[in-house]
Amino acid sequence: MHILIIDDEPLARSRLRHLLGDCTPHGEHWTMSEAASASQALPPLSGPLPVDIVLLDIQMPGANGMSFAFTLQQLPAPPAIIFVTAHSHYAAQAFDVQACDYLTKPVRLERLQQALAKAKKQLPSDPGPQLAIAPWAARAGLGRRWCISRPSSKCSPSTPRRAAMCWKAAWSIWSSVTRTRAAHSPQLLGQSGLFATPGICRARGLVSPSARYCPTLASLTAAGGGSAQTFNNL
Amino acid sequence: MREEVELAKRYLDIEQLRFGPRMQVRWNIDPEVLSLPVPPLVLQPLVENAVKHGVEPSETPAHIRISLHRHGKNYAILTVTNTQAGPSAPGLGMALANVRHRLQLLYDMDFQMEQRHKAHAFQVQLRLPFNRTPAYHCPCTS
Repeated sequence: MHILIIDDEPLARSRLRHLLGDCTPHGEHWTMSEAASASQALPPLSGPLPVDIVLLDIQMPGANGMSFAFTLQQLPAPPAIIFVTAHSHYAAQAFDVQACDYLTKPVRLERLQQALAKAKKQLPSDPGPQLAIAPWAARAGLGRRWCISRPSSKCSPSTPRRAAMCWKAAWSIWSSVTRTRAAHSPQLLGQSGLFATPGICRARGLVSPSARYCPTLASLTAAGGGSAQTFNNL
Repeated sequence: MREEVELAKRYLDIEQLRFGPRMQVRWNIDPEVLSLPVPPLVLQPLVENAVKHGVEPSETPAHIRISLHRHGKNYAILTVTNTQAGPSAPGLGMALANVRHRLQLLYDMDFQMEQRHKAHAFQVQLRLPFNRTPAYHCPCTS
């Protein structure tokens, strides 16, 4: 779970940080980032670790929180937005940007916990073991959707039996990754000849693979991995 | 005026905690002016305005300059200047109107209040009579 706090006041950020520390569920790993303005929030938002929840102040210098929330909603995978503000009169507008919750300062722990619980429900659910290996996996009748094979991988079996073996190996690596929540999962995933999307990593609470392991369709076809049609058919 | 300055300083101390290095305040006080009798809450609203419209909307450090000095024998000049990075959310205009109105009641024509919009700054300047105690007309005591 990656939570980004955007507030121009350092004391307000530190208060939220401490409250978040107090409501971390046992055993769950949370990452927190901070930004003092909307413009400073862009690096963490475009960083390797996708942001799941944004705690967003409204009155800030530069772009205000409400207009920034509109920007966030345009993202392909928008994070859940929780407004944290001293003013109650923006609450109606918060509906327009599909905010998950609206907290007024000073924030109380119980209220923050409620908001986080709501936000978690909004996040994409765990896709589970829906790995897919392509295109040979598709031919072998294996799962599809989340992962695709590295075009140049050795793991490019010709027969369904080999495909199944490959699948099994990949699956065991994937399982070990998800069990250990290893910080270096991209490497492990790379070894398996699989790519994982940020979505699956987010759902698994993993560090997102770097862009190298999250190729776009265009980059895969450019790498000679097959036609766009092939990948669309996965 | 000494109490007014003390109050404004306390207020700015709180805002300093809030904004940290984003708020830079400079005082320039002529000690002679500190003994000037003034109505309460004449300085703090001007300083609060400077914080609201100068510091709050600014991502970069904003400056507030407060100066009190004598102007000739008969007047004291009180100036609050704040830098303005960009347009701030328009307020209700209550603070300045309120100060002006109260000064009008107390000093009638014997004071001046000017607002100046400069290139990247906003300034409010008060000229108050030095040798005149404001005439309080409180209905409860008269």
